[in-house]
Formats: sequence, C-alpha cells, structure tokens
Amino acid sequence: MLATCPFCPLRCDDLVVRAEGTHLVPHEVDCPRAHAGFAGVAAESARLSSLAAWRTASVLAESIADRVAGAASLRISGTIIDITTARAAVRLAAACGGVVDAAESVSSAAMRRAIEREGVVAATLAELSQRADSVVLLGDPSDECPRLVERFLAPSPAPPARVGERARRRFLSLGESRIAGLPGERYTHIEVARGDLHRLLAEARGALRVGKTDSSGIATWLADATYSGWLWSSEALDPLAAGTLVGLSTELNRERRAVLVSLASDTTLRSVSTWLSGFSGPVDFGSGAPQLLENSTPAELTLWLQPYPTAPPPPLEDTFLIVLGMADAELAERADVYLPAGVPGVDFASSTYRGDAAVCLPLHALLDRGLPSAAEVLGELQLRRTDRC
Amino acid sequence: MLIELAGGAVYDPRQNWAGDIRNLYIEDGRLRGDVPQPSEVDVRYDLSGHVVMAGAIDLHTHIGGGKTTIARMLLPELLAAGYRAERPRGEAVGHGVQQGGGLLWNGPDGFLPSAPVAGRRYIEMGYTACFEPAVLPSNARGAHAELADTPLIDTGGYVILGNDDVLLGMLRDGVEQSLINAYVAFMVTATQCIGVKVVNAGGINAFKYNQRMLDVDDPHPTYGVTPGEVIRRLARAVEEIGLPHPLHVHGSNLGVAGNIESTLKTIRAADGHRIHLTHVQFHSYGKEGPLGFSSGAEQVAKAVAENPNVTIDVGQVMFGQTVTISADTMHQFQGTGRATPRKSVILDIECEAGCGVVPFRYRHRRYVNALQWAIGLELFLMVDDPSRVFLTTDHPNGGPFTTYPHLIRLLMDRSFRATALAEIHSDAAAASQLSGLDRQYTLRDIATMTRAAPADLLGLGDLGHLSAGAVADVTVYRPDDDIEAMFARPTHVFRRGKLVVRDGRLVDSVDAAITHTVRPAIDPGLQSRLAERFAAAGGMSMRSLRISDDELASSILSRPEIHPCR
Ligand code: SF4
Ligand SMILES: [Zn+2]
Repeated sequence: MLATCPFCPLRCDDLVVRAEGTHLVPHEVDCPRAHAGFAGVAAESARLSSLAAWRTASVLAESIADRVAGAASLRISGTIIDITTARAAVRLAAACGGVVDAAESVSSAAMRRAIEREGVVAATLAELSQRADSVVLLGDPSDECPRLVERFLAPSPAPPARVGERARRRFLSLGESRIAGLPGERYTHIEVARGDLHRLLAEARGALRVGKTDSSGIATWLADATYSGWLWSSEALDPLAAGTLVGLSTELNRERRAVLVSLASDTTLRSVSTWLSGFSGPVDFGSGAPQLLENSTPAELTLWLQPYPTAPPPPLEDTFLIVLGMADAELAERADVYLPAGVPGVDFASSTYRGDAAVCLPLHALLDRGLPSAAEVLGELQLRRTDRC
Repeated sequence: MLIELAGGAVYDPRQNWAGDIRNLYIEDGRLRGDVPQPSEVDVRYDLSGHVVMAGAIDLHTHIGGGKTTIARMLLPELLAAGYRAERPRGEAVGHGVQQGGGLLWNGPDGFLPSAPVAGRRYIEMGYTACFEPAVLPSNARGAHAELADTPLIDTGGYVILGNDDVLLGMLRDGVEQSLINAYVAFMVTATQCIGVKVVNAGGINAFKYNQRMLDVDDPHPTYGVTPGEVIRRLARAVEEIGLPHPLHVHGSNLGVAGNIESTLKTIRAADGHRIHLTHVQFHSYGKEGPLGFSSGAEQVAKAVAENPNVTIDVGQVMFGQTVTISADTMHQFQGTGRATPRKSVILDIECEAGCGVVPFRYRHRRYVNALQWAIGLELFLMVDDPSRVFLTTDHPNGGPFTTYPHLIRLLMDRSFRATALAEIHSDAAAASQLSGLDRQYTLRDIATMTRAAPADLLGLGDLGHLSAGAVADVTVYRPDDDIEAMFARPTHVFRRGKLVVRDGRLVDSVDAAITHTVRPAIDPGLQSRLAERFAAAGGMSMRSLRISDDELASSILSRPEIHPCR
C-alpha cells in the first residue's frame, strides 16, 4: 500500500507499507523514525487489545464529559497533524470557552514571533530542491526528518532548473555536529554552540551589508550563492537568532534569491486555527469570541492530543491530564485519563500540511482496527458540552 | 414546503425582467415554474414595494487558500485591533448559531475576516456563491477545507497554472496542444476547481531565477518561452477542453506605471481565444503627467469593446487599511518597500507559483491611490456592457468585500460620486475623466453584473437567475435613497430555499458546503507522458494532487456540484 507517513513534518507521500495482521511495516524505506513510528503504534495497539480497551467515541466522551464541563479552565494541546482533528479541537475549544494551543518547538515559536514582527522570504521544499545552489543548515534538521537529505537535498535539480551557475549544490552547516549524508567535497561545517548562532548570523549580516568578509567566512559563502535555502532543527533557533535570520532573508533578496524553509510539526493546527479563529498561535475562547493569547499557561484540565506513541509527550505540569490518541505505556501510565484513539494516516483518512506549511497532502486509511478517531471523540464531547451549557 | 414570494419588483436579466411585479414560488430549494393553488402555499412573504434578485455571485475574492492564512499570521495586531474596534469584547458572540454540527463564532472582521465571519458577512449582503481565484495545486486540499469552513455560501476555485515547471517545460519542448490540454484537464479535475487562472505568466517562475521584470513578449530566462505564448496556449487549452469559464488572467507588470501597454499586448497575445482579465484596474496605468502615472481606463474600455473575446473585473480600490495578497511574488516583492505596516511575506511554492503578502493603506489624499480609485470607477462607467465588467475589489487587495454596497452606490448615484470625487487628491481628480462621466448604473445593470453575467461566465446553469428550476438563492432589498444602506442590509436572503437572513442579520444556518466544479475529459492515452513530466519536475506527485469526490465529501466536508463542459 502507498501511504503518507505521519511521523515527521516531511510527510513523505511515497511510502510503501505492508500489513502484517493488524500492524503495518514500512517496506524498502531507510527511515528510522518511520520504522519506530509504526513499531510504536503496533506495540501500543497490541497492548491495548490485550487489555480489551477498545471503546467507542461515545463511551470515551461520556467518561470525561462531566469533568470537561466542570473544569474552570480547559486547554487543548499536543500534536495535531490532520485537518479533521484540528477542526474538532478548535470547535471544542470554542464551545467550552477554552484555549487551543499547538505544542510548538523552540524554533517554531521563535520564528512565529520573528515573522509577526518583520515578515520573511521563504519557500517550500520542492523549490529548495529544484532551485537552491547553496543550502545552509542550522543544527541538524535531518535528525528529526531522516529522509530530508535523500528526498530534497541530495538529488540534482531536473534540467533546466539549474542551480545557478553551479552544476552541483553545496552545503554549509552551523551547529554542534556534522550532518551525515552530505557530500564531503561540497560540504562545510562550522562548529557553533547553540547560544552563539545569533552572534555569527548577525556578524555575517553586518558584513554582507557593507560588502566585507566576516571571521567565520559565512558572509563570503552567502555572497557567492545564487539561490540559498535555509533549514533548521526544532531546537536551533532562539528568538534572537530567528530575528536575525528573517532580516537576513529579506536583505539577501535585494540582489539574489534566498529563502527560509521551516519544518514545523504544528503547521496543520496552525493553519486550521488561523482560518477558523483568525489567529495563529494560542487562541483563547474564554470570552466567547477568539483572542490571541500572548502566553499560554497551564489550565486546570489539559486535553492532550497524542496522534501516535512517538510524538513528543506533554510537559510535566500541574494539571488534570487527559491524553487522547495513542500513547506509549509510560504516557498511558502518567495520564490521569487515557482515551485510546486511532492514528491519522493509519486508522483513518484526513489531510495534513507538510512542515513547510503550504503543501497539503492526503492521509490515507490503511487499516480498520475499529478504533474511534480523536475527532469523533472531540465531536461527541462538543455535543455533550453544548447540551450541558 | 412551498414558499410564496409575493408581489416584489423582480430583476432577472435572464428572463428580461427589470422590476416586473411577479410572484415567485420556492419548493425543495428550487424555483417552481407553475403557479400553485393558494391552498398549497405554506409560507407567504408579502414583498410588495421590495426589490427581488437572485443571490449575488462574487467571481474573484480571496477568501481561502493559504495566502489568507499567511496574511493573518503576519498581522495579528491589526486583526485584533480592528476586531476590538468593530466588535466590543463580549458582544454578539456566536455561541447560538449552529452550522453543520459546529458553531459560528465571531472573530476578526473587516479586511481579513476569519472564515466563519467571511461567510456570514457575504450572506448578510445577499451573496450566495463566491469563488477563490488562486488555488495552488499543492494547497488545493487546504483551500477547499478553508472554503468548506466558510459557512452559508457556495464556493469554487480556479487552479493557478502558467508558472509551474511542468507546463513551462512542455512549452519549451514544443509539445503538441493535445498534451497541454490533457495537462490542464488533469489539473482542473485533480484540484476540484472550476476554472484556470494564470498570474503574471512565467514571471513568478522567472523571479525564482532572480529576474525582476518580465513583459508579455520577453522570453523567460531559463525556459525561453514568453508570457504571451503561455497565455495563448493556456487560453486555447481551456477553450478546447470545454471549460465554461475562460482563462482567468492576472496580467504582467501588476501595479507598474505604464502597464497599460502590457495589458493591450496580453489581449493581442490571446489571439482571439476567450480571456477574462482580472482586477484590470491594477493593469490600467499610463505614465503620462508630471508624476508619470496616469489613467489607461479609456484604452482598456476601447479594447474591451473591440475584442468580444474579453471580459474584465475591476479590482476597485477603496480607501483604508488592507493587505495585498497575490501569487505574483515578482511584483509583490517590489511592493515590500511600501508595506504598511512595514513587514511582508514572500514565498516560493512547490515549483508551481508563489505567494506575496504585503499590508497596505490606500489614502485618498495620496495622488497614486486616489487615481487608482478613479481609474476603477472609470472602467466601470466606460465599459458599456454590464455583462462584460464585474464588480470586485479583488478582496482584500483593493479593499474588503464588505465595501461592495458603498461601491454600488458610487456606480448608481452620480451626485454621491461627485461628492466622493471632491474629497480625493485634487491633482488625481483633475487627471481623471470621472467628473465628466454621467452614467448611473440601474438596478437591472447591477443584477446583470452581480448575478446573471457571472453565472453565465462560470457556467453555473442553475444559479444567478430566477427561472423555473433555478436554485432558490434569492435576495430581497427594501429600496432606499441611500443605495449603500439598501445593498448592505437585504430584508430577506434565501439560500437554497431557506430563509437565512432577515433585515441584514443572520437568523438561521444552512446545510453543508457546496463546491462548484467541472470534469473536463482527459485523453487517457496521454496519462503516461504526463506522469513522466510530473516525475521530472520535482513538485507534488500526480497521485497526491488528486482530490476525489469522496475525499472532498468525507474529509474536506464539501459536496461537489459538477457543471457541464461546453
Ligand atoms: S522522513 Fe519523516 S515522513 Fe519521511 S518516512 Fe521518515 S518519518 Fe516518515
Ligand atoms: Zn485576485
């Protein structure tokens, strides 16, 4: 079966998977994250079926309806990777006067704020792959998106989309370790501690402005690029580095092309929440109508969406934690209530935004294990909530 | 249920009714042709003294599809501020209104409304169908999902082609027209769109190679094809595969002084094939006068009169804060220096096209903006045939769609227009021919321009008119000397036979979303050659591009309504 992989922001839509009983195994794909993702789903569904824990959306919703109705404050958060779940999450928050808040990475939050301040020049992955003669990597995004190099960085662009005057693309990475899989002769790595990134970028920006060189050589390297593409890991950017980077993207484009390419895990919820409420970032429906929340704080009750076991778990907070989706054994144990639901792109079909935001791909239903979807549970909760109001 | 709309003055250009006093009958969401027995009527509305038209249709409004999302992300402070100003905290919250199992709530309004608010504002003005003109293929799912979440109105989209590496590669290689036709048919079908739009043909792609200008007869720096050739081949394809809507063209050199020459060249490049020139106000600039910026409206109107294959919509500028959003990154990038507030987003997208978001404030005391306003009105008034010029502000680019009632008053009320003209920059007023244009649109003209003609141009057989069997989208107005007030607050709006608006306010909701679409035939013998082209170009795969009817209905949550090809 051909599948769209739900396990990282790259959303590879060329995955071939085989069903082994009620489990899926990726076939001929060299991606540790995809293998771990499917294995995690298989392990958890095996554990759940041995506990006979399969319940319908209606039963699951009923089990927590009173608690949700009685909570003084509700926050819906976690990893939401598909449009159906995102719609249901925003609608429930609206019905309950709660907060809906994507779990965003450090880099993602820093970029969101920097773009709100200054704007950006950006691109999607296929553009980077087809146009960029020079790619800069901040931290190692291929650690989180293992097929990034194979799918988008290593292939040569199709003719005539030549990469500037260069026959082959070159790479520069700034971070704590070298990136595997990049061609040695065209790859430069500069060792940079995380806190130092901003300083180096600012220095390069200053040098480019006056047409001088900088001590690291980054400005010289950039000045020689026709179309540069920038990628970063989820932890690489602090607010200062993100601010410098968006400014640099605008400046570089005065004479040449340069683009930032984000690989965020919260793009789907971000998009849906933005069109439904008008705001990206955390949205509070506490006054009935949506408001942008500057800082999201813990709520009395957290409804945490966990689409698959290998997604990041919720932070440790003083809250009543309801986990909806598919957790691993540890999170299942930690949750005050765990409501098992199917995996988007495995148990049910939906649509998903790739991490670079504009590209929206189909997620396919590959198995029928009889699990309800998180959206169904959220929908049932909303009905009960509307009744009880 | 049988509803009688009794005694209204009906304006229905399709039936040549111009204020004829008629009774209309609605049953099962459609207009009934015969006159039923009085005993059959369940509900009767006495509309004597009222004006009755079909639901209005907006054929070019950016209410979905990624760009609006990016604009909202860029401008939260403006949205929050405008929203607070227009709607004090706590007032009129939408908890009460049910829509398709969800809720309608308030949110940012004005130039960038959230989807629930956009749908509500449209239906409250009597609009029942709106078309998103810029659907990027890789974003089509998201665009349709956002449109499906725009309640109360039917929607549809035009897929953007003409900067995609697949098409440019085929033109470079000189492939036969049948392969281009198969490609266009596949893209329209795959993305569930109803039309094809080209934006700055080849120019967005050239910008990716750092080219900053591309005129209609300039060769693309890499592919060697000219924008003129792209337009001609696409317009021909659209015609040959039988799409009702002609190629929707956003011309070259958007917003550039002197671009009237490019616009005239674009008309010539179409070589007699049908084209619709969109937001042509932004493409009607001469470079005469002391400031090197003048009106080209007269030349455009003359060209429209001489070329029956051409229709236009205006893209009227309305004064105030807005945000410009366009796939035309080449020219949006040039505009970043004028951004207000000073920030913008420019995005290259997936070997297809791009997106540029630049906030802007049009000021009536600034010469260029004032003249832009006047040029738009000149275009409306100089093109004689209201079935060939359409009412748009290119929402939100020239201003928000909520200004339509004001714009209609400017067209229908000469003295109101004269007062407005007196308030703009005096040099702009002097440079414009507006003061000498006495024409006033009639109600029949408005019904043509906002109902019958857009339905015809889009091939929406059962919309835009009130004949037997038509969809019962009906808008009722109370005549008023203040024409703006009349069009801002219809007394009744029926959508698909159900009363949803009373006295300008939403009173009920309607069933699920509807997507208007077409299904051109695709030559099966050419599929494998297309597949090779897709694989080589590096963008989204054919398989992932395709949105099936089932996916549209069950996952995106909109029902496709398929219109016949020509
Ligand atoms: S790179 Fe990401 S999306 Fe692609 S197969 Fe691996 S985990 Fe899945
Ligand atoms: Zn437009």
